[in-house]
Amino acid sequence: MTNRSGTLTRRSFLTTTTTGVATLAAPSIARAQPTDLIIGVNGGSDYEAMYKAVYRPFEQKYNVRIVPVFGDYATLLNRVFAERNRPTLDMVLTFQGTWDVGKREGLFEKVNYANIPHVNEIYPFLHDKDGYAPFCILTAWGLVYNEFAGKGVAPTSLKDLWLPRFANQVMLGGIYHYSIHLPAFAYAWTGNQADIDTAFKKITELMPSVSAFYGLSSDAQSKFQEGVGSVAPWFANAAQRVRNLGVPLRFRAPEEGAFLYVGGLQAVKGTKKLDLVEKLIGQFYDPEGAVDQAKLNGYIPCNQSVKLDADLSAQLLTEEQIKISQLWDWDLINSNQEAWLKRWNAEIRPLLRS
Amino acid sequence: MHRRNTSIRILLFALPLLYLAALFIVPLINLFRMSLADPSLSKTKAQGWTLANFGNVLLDPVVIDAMITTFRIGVFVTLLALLIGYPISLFLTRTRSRWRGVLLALTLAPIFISIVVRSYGWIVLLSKRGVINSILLQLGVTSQPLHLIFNEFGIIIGTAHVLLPFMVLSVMGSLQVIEPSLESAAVSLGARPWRVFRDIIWPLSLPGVGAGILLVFILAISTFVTPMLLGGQVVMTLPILAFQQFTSVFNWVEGSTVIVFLLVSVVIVSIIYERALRRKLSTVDLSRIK
Repeated sequence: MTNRSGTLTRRSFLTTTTTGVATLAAPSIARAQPTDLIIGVNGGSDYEAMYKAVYRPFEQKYNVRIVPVFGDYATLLNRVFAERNRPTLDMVLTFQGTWDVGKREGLFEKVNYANIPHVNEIYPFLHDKDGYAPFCILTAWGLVYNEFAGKGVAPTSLKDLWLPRFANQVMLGGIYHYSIHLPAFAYAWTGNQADIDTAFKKITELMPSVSAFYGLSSDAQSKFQEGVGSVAPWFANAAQRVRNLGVPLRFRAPEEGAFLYVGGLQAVKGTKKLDLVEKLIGQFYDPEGAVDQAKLNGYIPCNQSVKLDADLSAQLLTEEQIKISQLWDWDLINSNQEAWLKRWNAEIRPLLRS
Repeated sequence: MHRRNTSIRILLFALPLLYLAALFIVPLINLFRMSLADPSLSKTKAQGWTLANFGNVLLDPVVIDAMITTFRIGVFVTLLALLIGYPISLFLTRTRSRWRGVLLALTLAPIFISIVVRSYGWIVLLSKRGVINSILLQLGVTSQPLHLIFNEFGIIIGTAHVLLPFMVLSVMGSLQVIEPSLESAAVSLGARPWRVFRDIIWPLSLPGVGAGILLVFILAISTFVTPMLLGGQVVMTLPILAFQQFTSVFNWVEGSTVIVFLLVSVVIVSIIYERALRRKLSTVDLSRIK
């Protein structure tokens, strides 16, 4: 570093400086800046739990930074609609209803199933026949009730909501859920989801027992907590989250069969990060993450090889119950929901006592 | 130097104009364009032209019902805000208490708190198991919890609370410029407080009251979050109806039509009100003050 006389030469100075800089920079060169993946998702406790179970392990594994954009399903899809020529999101969370709309409108990119880890282990109904991203969120819709409701006798069928012991305790989903309530009630009463006239007639009969309409999950949660109602057709995952907060809610698959509610992250048309999109979807099927998702968020594992402990499985949906569950007819729903909404607004909404 | 001043003036004028154009005028034009689009071509893109959307909206009983509900809520919120706001404004204008600043801050507090937080606060207070019902039940005033929320009553209470500061500030603006010597003169001539109020304070505060009424009414009929949270999806207002169209069925055309319908209604009501108020103010008999 110095010459024989002990003074600093230009060469030794340059050598020392270069070595020092290279040493300091080596870790960051070896580990490049993480890539941002911008995803439109639901916020709140759902995201917090999902971050722990899925996104954080994904970030660490692939050196990615997840950038969340929060909103409900409809708001997120409206954003993708509005940005269809200049997308800012790489992925967007959809449930089957908004997924159908987005797919029809050409808002999503197809993915390569061969690049999605664990995709062969998921339930076949989660695949999309047209090559769009498979669903990676699975929950059940059925009966959610407070353990102490209905004189301690739990409802077993959707039709039990009409029993006098649940008078003034029933909550129904309002404008966010009418489109799934109608075919489900039609199915419960007639075995045919398309018999919507019967569904309207039965809901009209039920209205004197209805204490409130609930909106988004947070609204339903606060209404259960406030005691506005004690039984509702609702989601297993939401019930599990509220139960984790200490409210004695239970989910039960009705004897007609629960309805499976599927959702997933779709690649937004125009994203340049399709490879990361595929890997992130696969992360949802990772066995360890799937168990965490079930515990924290109440989602049923999409990966069939994942086994939950008996208690948790009973609180969500057992493998046998999944097999006899129903899927909503989304073609029927999406082609009729505008007319149903007008009818709901005119016939059902005014019947709620206020 | 003169040229430089002119440039600065143009810049000062252009910047807010640009801001207004980008964030208000362009979206408004888009909204009008969408409301005139043909929904049979696309419900999320402005394609084709038709006036039929407005015909459909005007003939839809749900829309008409929502409009009546919206305006009814607007009227009650405005009345409540005026009834509560006027005495507060009068007190805040006249008091010399050292607590005046605190009282003013408390009155304006709703502006500084998130609308969602405020609404949930009302839910906690007014729900079946809420504070008010618990007190009423404990005092034996009622044997059953009262329905104080998830109905029009809840919306009126919540919205009036949110909009109260707008009424108070408008009325205070008028009260503060009333010459104190007018009141002193009236009192010295033997006028009782009620007479002073009726013949001096009230007529001279009318411009502020008028502005407050218009402001609160317009904000009340276009508010969305409070009716959504406190109406329990039972009460249908025009903003909620538009929201349904955007988020539930992705029909941007009908959603835009409902909003334009509301906007035009507000403009018409405002013009009628403003003319009526101007006429009223021109006929205020100030000679009685003498």
